[in-house]
Amino acid sequence: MDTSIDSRTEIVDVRHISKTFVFDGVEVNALDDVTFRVPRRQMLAIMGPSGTGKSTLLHILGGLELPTSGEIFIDGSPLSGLSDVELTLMRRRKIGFVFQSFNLLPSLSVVDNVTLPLILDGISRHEAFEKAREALRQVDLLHRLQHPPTRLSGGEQQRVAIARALVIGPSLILADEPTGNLDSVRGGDITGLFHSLAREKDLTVVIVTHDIRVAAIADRLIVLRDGRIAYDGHPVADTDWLAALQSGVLT
Amino acid sequence: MLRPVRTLLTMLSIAVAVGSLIAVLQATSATRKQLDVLHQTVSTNVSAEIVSADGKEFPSELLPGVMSLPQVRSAIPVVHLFGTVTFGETLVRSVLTGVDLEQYGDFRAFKLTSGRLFSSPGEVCVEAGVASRLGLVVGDKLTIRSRDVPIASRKTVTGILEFTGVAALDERGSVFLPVREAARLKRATGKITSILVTYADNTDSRQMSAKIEQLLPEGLAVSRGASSSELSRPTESLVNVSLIVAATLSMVAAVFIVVNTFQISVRERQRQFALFRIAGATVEQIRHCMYREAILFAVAGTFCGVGIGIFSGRILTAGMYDLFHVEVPVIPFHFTSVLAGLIFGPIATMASVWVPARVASRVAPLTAARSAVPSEGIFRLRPLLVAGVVTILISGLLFVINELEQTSVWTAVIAMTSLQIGLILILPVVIRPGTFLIYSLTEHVMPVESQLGRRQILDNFGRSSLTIVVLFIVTVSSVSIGNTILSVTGDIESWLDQTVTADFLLRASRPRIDMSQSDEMPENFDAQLESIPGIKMTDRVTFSLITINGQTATLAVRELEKYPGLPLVIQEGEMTEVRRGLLQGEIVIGSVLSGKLKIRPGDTVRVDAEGINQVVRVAGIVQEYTAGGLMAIMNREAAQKTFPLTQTHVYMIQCQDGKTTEAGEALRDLARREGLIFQSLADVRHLVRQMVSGVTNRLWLILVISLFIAAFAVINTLTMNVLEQTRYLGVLRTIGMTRFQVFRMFVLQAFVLGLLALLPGTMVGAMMSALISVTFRSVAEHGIAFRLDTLLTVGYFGLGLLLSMLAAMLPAIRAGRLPPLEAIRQE
Repeated sequence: MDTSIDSRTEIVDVRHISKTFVFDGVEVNALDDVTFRVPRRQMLAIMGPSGTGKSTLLHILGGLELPTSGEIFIDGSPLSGLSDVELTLMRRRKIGFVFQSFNLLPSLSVVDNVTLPLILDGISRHEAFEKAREALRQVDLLHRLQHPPTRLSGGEQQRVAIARALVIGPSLILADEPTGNLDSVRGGDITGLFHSLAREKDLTVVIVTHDIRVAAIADRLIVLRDGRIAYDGHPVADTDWLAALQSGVLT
Repeated sequence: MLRPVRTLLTMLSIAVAVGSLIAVLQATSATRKQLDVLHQTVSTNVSAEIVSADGKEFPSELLPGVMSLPQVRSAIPVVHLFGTVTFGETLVRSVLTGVDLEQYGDFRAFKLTSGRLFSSPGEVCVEAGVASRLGLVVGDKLTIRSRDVPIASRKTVTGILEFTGVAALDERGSVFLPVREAARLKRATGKITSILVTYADNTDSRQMSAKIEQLLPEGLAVSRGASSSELSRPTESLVNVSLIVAATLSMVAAVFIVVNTFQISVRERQRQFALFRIAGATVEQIRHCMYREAILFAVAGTFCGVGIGIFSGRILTAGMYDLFHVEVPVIPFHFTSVLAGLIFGPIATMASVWVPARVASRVAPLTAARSAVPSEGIFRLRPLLVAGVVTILISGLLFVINELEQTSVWTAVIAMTSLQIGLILILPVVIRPGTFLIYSLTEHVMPVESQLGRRQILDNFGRSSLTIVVLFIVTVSSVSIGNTILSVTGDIESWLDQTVTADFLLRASRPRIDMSQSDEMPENFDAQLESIPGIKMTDRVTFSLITINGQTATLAVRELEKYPGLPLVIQEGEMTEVRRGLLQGEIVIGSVLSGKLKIRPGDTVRVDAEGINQVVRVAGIVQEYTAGGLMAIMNREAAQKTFPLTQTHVYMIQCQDGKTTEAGEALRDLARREGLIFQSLADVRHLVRQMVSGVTNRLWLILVISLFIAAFAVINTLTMNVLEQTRYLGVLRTIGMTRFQVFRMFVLQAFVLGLLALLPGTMVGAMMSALISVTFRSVAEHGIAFRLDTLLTVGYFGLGLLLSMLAAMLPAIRAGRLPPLEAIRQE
């Protein structure tokens, strides 16, 4: 088995990872021997029924959680053995996060929310502001720079969150149900935005979703069932994933 | 209720509030008592002494008249006579004092170390020093001889008395016998030599003396003694007011802490209350739910607080000894302070929950649908500013009235309290610009921590303001009370250092409290002294009861030309001018006397001494505690040109460096041979210093308690900030904020909160202390010069700031350790 990874072409390399949680003394396998690689500029959707390990997988990819066993490489670097500070710096510089509930800081303005990761990294306020403007331009929110997030619609708030993820110039964006709190029109806008970003910005986007429309425009779809990969392929080229998803739902 | 940290913090807030109130009340009460002991040590309980101007005995008939005056607590007749005591082959000079010992305890602090008090004319009690010198025990028979009656009288010793404080020095060498027997030995049956008087608390001694003087026949005068009630009244008021203000402010601070906690609790649970409302809870039901919860907290918190209050003093006492080897006497248990805590806890809790409960019950059900907790409402600063300015103006007006009209002490107290309340009200106005200013300075070093910290302080303006106000209050009260108490003790210490320059005193007998009468010294005593090696200088002192502009006072005549400077604490006048004036025959006046007679340097006064009336120029005003401050001093040589003051009552002896012990032993032998009273002033200094350190150590205890309150306020606020901001901290950690950055953000927040409170607090505290000093100068006879204790003031500021940051450690570490994922999931 070839264990080498070409980081010029592949950004994520997940090897035999498992994750076991213990609830009230009972062990639950959230992930069980999951292996896959993600090439650069790919938009990968991860689907599966609730409790099947999708979010856990995303959190492990982002270094927010550690696998019980197995190895993960991001941009050629192994995550195992990294200290908390190294994991934090990796998140700060390489990974952008987008959450279902936006998670913007209500006390900061739109532009301050976006500059935050840059200022955390010691970039000057002026430079951070310019970069934030550029990121907000990409999500078409230049006119909302000084607004507090609470005055924005859900779709706008999610675009601010995407701008915050983009501003650091990440290699990877991890999005956890980004359209879950949005109506279908705004959800469609956000999905389209992710798709075009992956195409135009040399970005890899991994989206955990329940929304078939999101999966439909992804380059690749992984379906998880009982912590294992039940399907890994193109969402349009064949429809086996539908069967896999349905059987998962039924089980 | 599944929020253990919040529950614990709420309960702890009440417990700390109650506990600190009890601890402060007990500590302030103990400090006040210790200061009283200090004053009694440097003075006595005698308010006044009625004596004849010529030192002769007088009939005792006027005693009932004096005792009938409503403000006279106690008055007893005394007969003093000079004589000798012989036991075996040893003879000593002694003061024979005829007095009722059952009542004498009201005037002089003593205890019976063995035997019993005398009960018949043939019995006597002796002072422990006499007993020791003669080797007397209870049951021994001694012989006493009065100078006035050359017949020996055999007496049985029934008890040995040990005097404490300054009385231990004054009563050294005394033998006590019944008044009638003393009068018989003086050949003055039915007559007495003085009446000792103590006044009831809060009596105006000037008015009282005037009233007594009206009862006296010609030839008798009221001499105000070195009385604690006279001397310590102004300083007592000064310290009492500071302590009352400190206790009140600590109560206000405690209420602020509880209010803060409930406000935070309500804001944090706004979503929960909204869900209750959606589920059908009425406004009243939510309000009552909070009241019930508050009652439980009040009961649990108050009982914990009582425990904290009682034991914290003891724990701190032990801790301070372990850490600094500072001996702080254990604070006695006071039921009243515990009762105050038991009443205060529930009332403060219910008062604190009142407004938050009303706010909580008004939560709109739709609030539950919102994903984020809305920011605090707009904090209205203008009404606070207006109220603050008005209160300060009222306070200013009261100060002016007090200065012009010299009204009561309480006008000054109300003025000072109003000023502090006014400053507290306007403090929130400076928080916003202050926060911006401090963070603009830290932004270059810690940009993210500064930006987020500033937002957190300003977004939670109410909570931040409450925290800053709590810190401000404890700082103002601590710094002001600290400086006031240190000014008082420093005043006493500097007086001691500058005036008690001698190493030893030798005198023939205990003088009267006005110092004016004493037995004669032996012949050729100067020659005997000169033969003792190691003596650097002797200052022969003569006391005389005089009148200055009609006011009875004590004149001390000293050999001041022998001192390179002056052994006096000059309050008004320039040292070289005062010295020059004294050498030319001018007089210096004690501060109490000058206050009473409204005398300033350069004025002339009419001095009536030893039957000679003379106008003398006043060279200066000096700080003087002896003889109740009713004291005047002249140079011996110059005074003798005008007044016939040839007798020497006391020799003040200074030894050469390194010869003190040797010379002291020789002087002790000389005193034994000649039957004189020998006193080591090192003992006096040691005694007073011990008392001073007792007061200051208790003061440190109060400051430690106040710092503890301050630290708790910071912990409370920052822990609540962490709890409330958990989700956002999770977001920050997810997008790349390191644990250390989170930690720094909270510590920096504590630094800013601390600085915003401690900087103005320290300045206002110092100002308050100065104001207390100035204000009391105008309402009391003997003001205390304000001294800013730099160590205390700067130390409190630095330690307070450090402690604020240390207090932030726990919540900051907790915030840094929050797992990002769990934090994000937190609602």
